Amino acid sequence: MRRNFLLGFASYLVASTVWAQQADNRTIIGSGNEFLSAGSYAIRVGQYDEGIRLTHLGLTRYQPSDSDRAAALSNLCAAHGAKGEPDIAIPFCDESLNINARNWRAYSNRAYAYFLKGMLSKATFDLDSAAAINSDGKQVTQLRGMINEVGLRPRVIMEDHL
Amino acid sequence: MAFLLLVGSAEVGPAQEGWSADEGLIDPRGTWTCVLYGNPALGDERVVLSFAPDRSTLVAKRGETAARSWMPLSQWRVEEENLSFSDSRSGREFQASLRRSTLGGEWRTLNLRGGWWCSAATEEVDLSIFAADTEESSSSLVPLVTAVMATPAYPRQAIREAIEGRVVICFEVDRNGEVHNPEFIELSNEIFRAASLDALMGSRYQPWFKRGDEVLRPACRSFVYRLDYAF
Repeated sequence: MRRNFLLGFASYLVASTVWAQQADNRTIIGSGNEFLSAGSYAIRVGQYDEGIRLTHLGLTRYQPSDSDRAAALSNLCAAHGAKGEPDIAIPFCDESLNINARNWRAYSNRAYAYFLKGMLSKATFDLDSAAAINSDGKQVTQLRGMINEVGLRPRVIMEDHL
Repeated sequence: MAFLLLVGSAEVGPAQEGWSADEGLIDPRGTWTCVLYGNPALGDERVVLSFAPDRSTLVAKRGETAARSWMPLSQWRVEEENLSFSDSRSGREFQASLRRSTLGGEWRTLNLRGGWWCSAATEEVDLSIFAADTEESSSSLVPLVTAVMATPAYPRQAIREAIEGRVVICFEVDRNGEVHNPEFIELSNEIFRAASLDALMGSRYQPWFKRGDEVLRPACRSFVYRLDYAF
């Protein structure tokens, strides 16, 4: 069940990336986007290792644009997070945000990695940053719920009036 | 004493002003044993309220001995299914919807807000209240004691969405200590309804078999749902 959740969550994390909404191939041949597109798709369907491999190929063998590179790094962050490797994921998100500080998905992916590490304050901070950029992000709401379940202590005060 | 007896045996009848309870509405005329809650200085107050056909309203404290006396309140009035009256001494304005299962609602002052909940007083209770100070009459007012207070489970979705809230349910307790006729007086968020009701109906009070006591006794319970950060 955890795998299914991670699969679904990872698909949210990489949903609607530049390559998932397929761009015009005639303008991107040679820029590595086909590898990045394939990597994005693989991560979305849960083939994390394959997705990581293809994404690295797209980043190292070609010269993607800054925006493509930021998105690819964010996808690597998501994939490693989905694999339960937050220490590997976080640097990819850091690099992605250094390129594009408005990438709300990178904030959300890094928040998930921090959540895995139990660093709930940092996770909440990144989630707030993601929500500030895109308040309607479904995964932001979902991750916030996960953080609240772990990080909030419920109590009920009862009093009888007899 | 004659005046007290007269009030104590007041019967429900047609109001002189011609007001009559519509179908489905509670007729407030008569005597009610009530609990008032929410005043930080006074705590929970057990009183007897009397709404006479001539619109006069009287209040007396329950549990007192022969020194008890009725105090007059404002005239009661009904507007669009809502009963209202006030107490000039305390500055409290009382309101109640007559659509409920029994008489009860909220009271307000400039700075405070609370609630009140009543059960219809039986003739036996009326007589015992106005009887002379005897050991039997004072022992007939046995306080309600909680035997089982079930704790509600904080709804999971409320935790996920960081929702806090407050619920107040008023109800009646029978002689076996079982809870009947729950009604929500305050419900800050629907998400807390089921958990609060389940907890209340799982609660019990100690039985109170005493000669002359009323069949049902009013009570209210408040639930305050809070979330604390653990990080």
